[in-house]
Amino acid sequence: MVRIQLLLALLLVNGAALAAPSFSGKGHAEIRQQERAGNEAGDDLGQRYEGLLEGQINNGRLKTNAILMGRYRSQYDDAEDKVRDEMRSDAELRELYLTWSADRFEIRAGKQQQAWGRADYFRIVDVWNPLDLREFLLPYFDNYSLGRQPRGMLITDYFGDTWEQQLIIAAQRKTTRLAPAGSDFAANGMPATLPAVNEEGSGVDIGWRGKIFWSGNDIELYAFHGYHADEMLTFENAQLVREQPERDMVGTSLARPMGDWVLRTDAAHYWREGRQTASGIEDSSRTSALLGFDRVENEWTWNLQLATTHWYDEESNHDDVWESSVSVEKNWSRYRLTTGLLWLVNWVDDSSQLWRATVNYEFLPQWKVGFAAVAFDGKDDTQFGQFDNQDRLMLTLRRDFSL
Amino acid sequence: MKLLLKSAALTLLSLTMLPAFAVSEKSIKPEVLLEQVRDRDDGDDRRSRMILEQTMSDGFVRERELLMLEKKFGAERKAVLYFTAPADTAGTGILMFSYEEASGKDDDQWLYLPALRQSRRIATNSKEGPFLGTDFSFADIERLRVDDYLYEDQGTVEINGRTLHKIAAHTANGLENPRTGYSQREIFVDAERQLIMRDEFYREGRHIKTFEVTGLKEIDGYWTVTEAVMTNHVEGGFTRLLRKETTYNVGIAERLFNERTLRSGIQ
Repeated sequence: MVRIQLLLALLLVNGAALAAPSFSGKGHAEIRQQERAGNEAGDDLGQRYEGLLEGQINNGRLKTNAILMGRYRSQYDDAEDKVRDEMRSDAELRELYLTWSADRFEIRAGKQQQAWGRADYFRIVDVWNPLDLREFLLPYFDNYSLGRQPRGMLITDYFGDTWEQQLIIAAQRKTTRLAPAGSDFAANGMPATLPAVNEEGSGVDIGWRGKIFWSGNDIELYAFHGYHADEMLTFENAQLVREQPERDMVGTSLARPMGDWVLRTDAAHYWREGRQTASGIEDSSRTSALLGFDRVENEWTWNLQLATTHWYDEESNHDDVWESSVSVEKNWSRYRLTTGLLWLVNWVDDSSQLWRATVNYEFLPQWKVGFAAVAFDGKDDTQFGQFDNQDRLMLTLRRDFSL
Repeated sequence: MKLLLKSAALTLLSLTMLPAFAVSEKSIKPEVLLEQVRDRDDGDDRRSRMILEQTMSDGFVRERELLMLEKKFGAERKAVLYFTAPADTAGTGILMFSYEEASGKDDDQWLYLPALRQSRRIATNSKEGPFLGTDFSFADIERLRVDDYLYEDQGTVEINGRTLHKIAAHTANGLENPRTGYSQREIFVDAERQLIMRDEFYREGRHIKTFEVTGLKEIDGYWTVTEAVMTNHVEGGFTRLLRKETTYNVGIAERLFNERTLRSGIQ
C-alpha cells in the first residue's frame, strides 16, 4: 500500500508539472414513477430519484476522474430498519481514480471499474466488479456501468506494436450486493440476518489480458486468479460464515464482422470455482461460453446471444445452465423516439424469462421521457420466476446536462 | 441510445472525408477525376472540432459536438472521433480504419459506449442508414468509393463563381446500390481545389437528398470544407456540418489510433 501511495505521489508530481489543468463534466437527474402491473399485491412502489455527476480533470499526462451518485427510493420509507437502511437511499463517491499516460504505458489507480469480455448481461469473463443486485438488473439495462460496483484497483496497460497487455491488481474486496430479505428483489431463501463474514483467506485479485487485432479479428486472452464476486455460506469452526471462495480462470474473446452482422464470442474455463451447496461451499470447476450476433441497419439494432455453462462437479444435478437474450431496438430519429424490446431467458432444469419493453421520447434537447414495462415469468425456484410477482410499469423523466 | 451511438460511430469519420476529395486535372475522365478527389492530399494528419447541427422538419434542433483526429498510414487512413457534447452523447468514441479501395476490404470500426465501458465492433457492410439520426448516411461520410457507380461527363457549370465539373453517376443495373442505398447521383466537382462541392442523391429516380458545401477555407495550405449542408427532400429538414479549429500536420501520435483513446478521450 505504501508503494502504491508513493507511485500516486510521483504521478501527481509528474502530471502537475506539465500543463494547466482543464475540467470537463456532465451529469443527469432522473425521477421515476413506478407502479405494479396487473393485480400484483405489494407495497406502493412510489418514486425513485437519481442524480449523477461525473467529472474529469486533465493535467498533462495525468487525469483525475470522479463520479458521484445519489439515489432515493420512496418505497422503503416505512420499511423495517435493515431494509430501509439498505434500500431507501444511497449517496456515494462511485469512482475516483488517477490515470497517468505515456507513449506505451497507461496506469490507472483508484476506485474504478474494468469490463472484460464482449457479452451483454451474461458475465463470462467480466470478473472484476461485483454487481449491485438490490433492484435486480432493472436500473442497469440502459447503463450497465452503474450496475458494477467500482473497487480499488491498480491497472497497468502496455501498448505494444502488435499486442496490448493489461495487468490488474485489486486489493480491495467487494462482493455482490444482494437485496435484503423483505425487499422486492430478495432472492429465494435469503435469511433475514446474514452470518458473519469469514475474514480468513482474504487476498488480492490479479489478472492479465492480452489483446490483438489480427486479420480483421479482435482477439483477447484472459487469465485471472482471485476470489468469486459472490459471498457463499460455509461452516468455519462449527459456525456458519460468509466467504468468497477462490477462483482461477483462463478465457478468450473474439469479435469480427460477418457480412451485415458482427460475431462476438466469450469463452472461459474456471478450473477452480466455488459453488454453493446445502452443505457449504463446494470446490468445483466449470466452462462457460457465449455466442452473440449484432446487426445495425437503418436505425434498427439487433442483438442476439446464447450462453451456456457446464459444471464438472458430480454432486449437483444442475450441471448445465443455458441463457439467451434477444434485444431489438428501433430509433425513430425523425420523431425523436426510441423503442426497444428485450427478452432474457434462463434455463436450469426449468426455464424462466424476463421481458422488457421501452419507449423513450426526447421532447426537448437533453430532456427525455420514457416508459418501460417489465415482466417476469417462470417457476418460483428459477432465476426470473422468483420475481414473478414483481412485474411493473415505470415512467421516467430524465434531464442530462453538461458542467 | 445504443443505436444512436452506433450510428454516430459509423458516420462521423466519413463526414470529414466527403469534403476532402481532391481533383487536379481538367478535361479528364470522370473516374479519374473522382479518384483524384478520393486520393487528395489532406496532409499527413488533421485535427478538427466538428459540430453537427440537425434541424428537423418540425423545427427541433439537435446539436452534437466532437473532436476528430485523422492520420494517413500509407494508403490506409485512421480516424478517431470523440463526442464532447451534448451530455447524453459525451464520452462516446469511434475508431475507424479505412483501407485502399483497390484492396476490396471493408472499413473496420469500433464504437466505445461509456454506459458499457466497452468497445463494440461495428459491421460496415450496409451504410444506407442515417448517421446519428442526421440527414447524412453512413455512406455519405465514408471515404469515396469510385467503383460504386458508372460515370458520365456532363460538362461544366458555373456555381458561385466557380467552374465545376458535372458528373452523372448511376449503378450498373440501375437499381440502388445495396451498400449506399442510392441508384443515381449528380456530382459537382471543383477540379482545381479537388473537392466535391455539390452532390445530388437519387433513389429509384427520386431526388432524395442534396449535399452542398457552403463554407470553404484554405488552412495550412489545404482547402478545407468548414461548412456543408445535407438537405433531406423526403423527410424534410437539413443537417449542417461545421468544421472548426482545424490544424494539419501537427504530428498526431500513431498510438492515439486505438481503443485506448476511445476510452480515455481526446483532449
